[in-house]
Amino acid sequence: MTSPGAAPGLATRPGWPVRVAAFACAAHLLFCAARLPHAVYGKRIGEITDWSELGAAAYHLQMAGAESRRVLEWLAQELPPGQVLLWNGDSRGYLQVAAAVLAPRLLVWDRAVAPMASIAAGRPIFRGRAPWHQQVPVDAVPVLVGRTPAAAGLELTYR
Amino acid sequence: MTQRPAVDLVPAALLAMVLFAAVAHGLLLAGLTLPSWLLGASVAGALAVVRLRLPAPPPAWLAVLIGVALLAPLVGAVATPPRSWDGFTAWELTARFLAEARGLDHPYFADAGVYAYARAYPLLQPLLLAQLTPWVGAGGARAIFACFYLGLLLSVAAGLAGTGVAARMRHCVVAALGLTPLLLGPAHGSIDSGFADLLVGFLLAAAAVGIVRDAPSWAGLAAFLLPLAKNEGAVHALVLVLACGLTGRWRAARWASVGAAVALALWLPLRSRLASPGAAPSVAPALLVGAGALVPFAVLAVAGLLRRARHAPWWLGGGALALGAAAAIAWPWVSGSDAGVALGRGLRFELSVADVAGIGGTLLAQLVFVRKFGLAFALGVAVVIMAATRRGALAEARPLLVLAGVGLLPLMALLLTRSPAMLPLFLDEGTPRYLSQWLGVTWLTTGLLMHRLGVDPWPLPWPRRPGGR
Repeated sequence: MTSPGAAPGLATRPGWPVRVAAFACAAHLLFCAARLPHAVYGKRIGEITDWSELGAAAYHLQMAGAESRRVLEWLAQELPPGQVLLWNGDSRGYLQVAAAVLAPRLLVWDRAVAPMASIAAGRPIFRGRAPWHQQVPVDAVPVLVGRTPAAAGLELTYR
Repeated sequence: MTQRPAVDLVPAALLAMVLFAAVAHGLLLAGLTLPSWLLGASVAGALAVVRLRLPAPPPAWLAVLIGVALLAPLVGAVATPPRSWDGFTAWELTARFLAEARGLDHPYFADAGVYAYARAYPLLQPLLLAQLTPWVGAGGARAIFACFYLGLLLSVAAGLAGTGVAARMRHCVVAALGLTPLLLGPAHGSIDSGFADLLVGFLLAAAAVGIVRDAPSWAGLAAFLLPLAKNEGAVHALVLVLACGLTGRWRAARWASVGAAVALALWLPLRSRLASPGAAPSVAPALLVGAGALVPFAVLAVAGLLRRARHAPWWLGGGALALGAAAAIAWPWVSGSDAGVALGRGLRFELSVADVAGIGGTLLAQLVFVRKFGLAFALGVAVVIMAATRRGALAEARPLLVLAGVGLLPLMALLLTRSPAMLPLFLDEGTPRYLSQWLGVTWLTTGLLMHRLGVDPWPLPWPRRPGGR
């Protein structure tokens, strides 16, 4: 049980630690190879299927609650290309997902934009009203808010 | 006519990446856009400079095994955008905007009001993806993750071959590394997760080849690319310089210093601009270029002093400590990076000392987490202990142990200086990925030591001789 390239004098008769190391190496190979069907193929196929069925927003917001998913899916559908959406609140957490889902449309910080401004980052600011906010004017400026703590998800307010 | 030097596939690929990254960062610093043919021209340029020496084909069983293992993450990478959080929200997003703008003249990079969580992340991986996107689409561009994975395996194989390890051992070690659950599974840090940890792992493995073979091309090219790949890559590059110096690998040390110096001189001013777009720079760009270019050589000088310090260890140790403290004070001010902020917290003694036991325990648990790493780290530690008891058995692997030992110190420092609120996230999410960057170094060390100890990597009766001799 010696390696062909073993250094002379070091491995004439392997002791038990060498044999244990050899079996540990083989065990590593066998264990990792045995994981391929389920952990590498099975789980990945499940992930790809979920992504395809749910879409990026719902896939990444599975833990964020229904309200967050509803907000982001509506924005992904309604926010026109070339316009920007205002944001506020906690910049960590689900706002990261929102920025990626809505790209190449941009999110601009609410406080960096003057109250009556219609342009930000050189692009028109998105105006609109979510269907479940009937009391809000149709041409209101939605602001996507990252709730605190970051794990609390997203909500939609208006300025 | 001078004949072009023959180089292996990996350093040739690294050279192409270096040419691309150097020109791309230079153009971005100058405020210019990148031509869509830049990556292709860099590959052609590398092939014009060197003569490619292709590796011997692997045995059929190894090729099939790695092919089967790689197929799933390759399909996973191409089929959808990254399904892991940071891969999707940080690295891929930057690549999308780079592909759209072909430079940094876009509100995502240039307007501080625009939400861009990862704006100041290093750009090497997004730049590579953005360059490939016009030619093969965003999905096809992500196939480059498979190239990083193969580069990692080929680096370890080349490192073992260069130190006389038999083919059978090399093939088993490459298989053991290639099958690592964290790389193949769909979780954070896997091949198709879109994180840059795989790229860093590949570059660290190449750096390890540089130090173990005292090969300046491997060390220099890897040291150049590391700071451009991920924030901790700058620390890894300096660690490489220090480890090369401490172990007397001076040819590798010199070129690693040059590589790291040029990369930092390019990256620090660009990072400063990205971190505060539109604002007047708090530090003059020339100062950043100078600091970036000087730090690796200061580290090299410290290594040289320490290596000759047998008669005055306290004085020289104090000097090194003072230099380290000065760098730590300057770093947060200069960069404001995570590592710099962490170092600043450490210097102000805002350490999470109460969490030391928890950090140590979690780190240990991650090292032996078989569903993520198999027995990679456990076996590595075991063979190091075995080799330490035999005269001369550690000699070849000592530079790698110094590299890993010095390299793990910044990880410990980062964890110790995390705020209590952020620590659990770092321990659960970050630590496995940071450790995964060291898989190539670990398996290279393990293979070398198993060879020296005479460990048969496949002692089972069937199949009789995987890979033959």
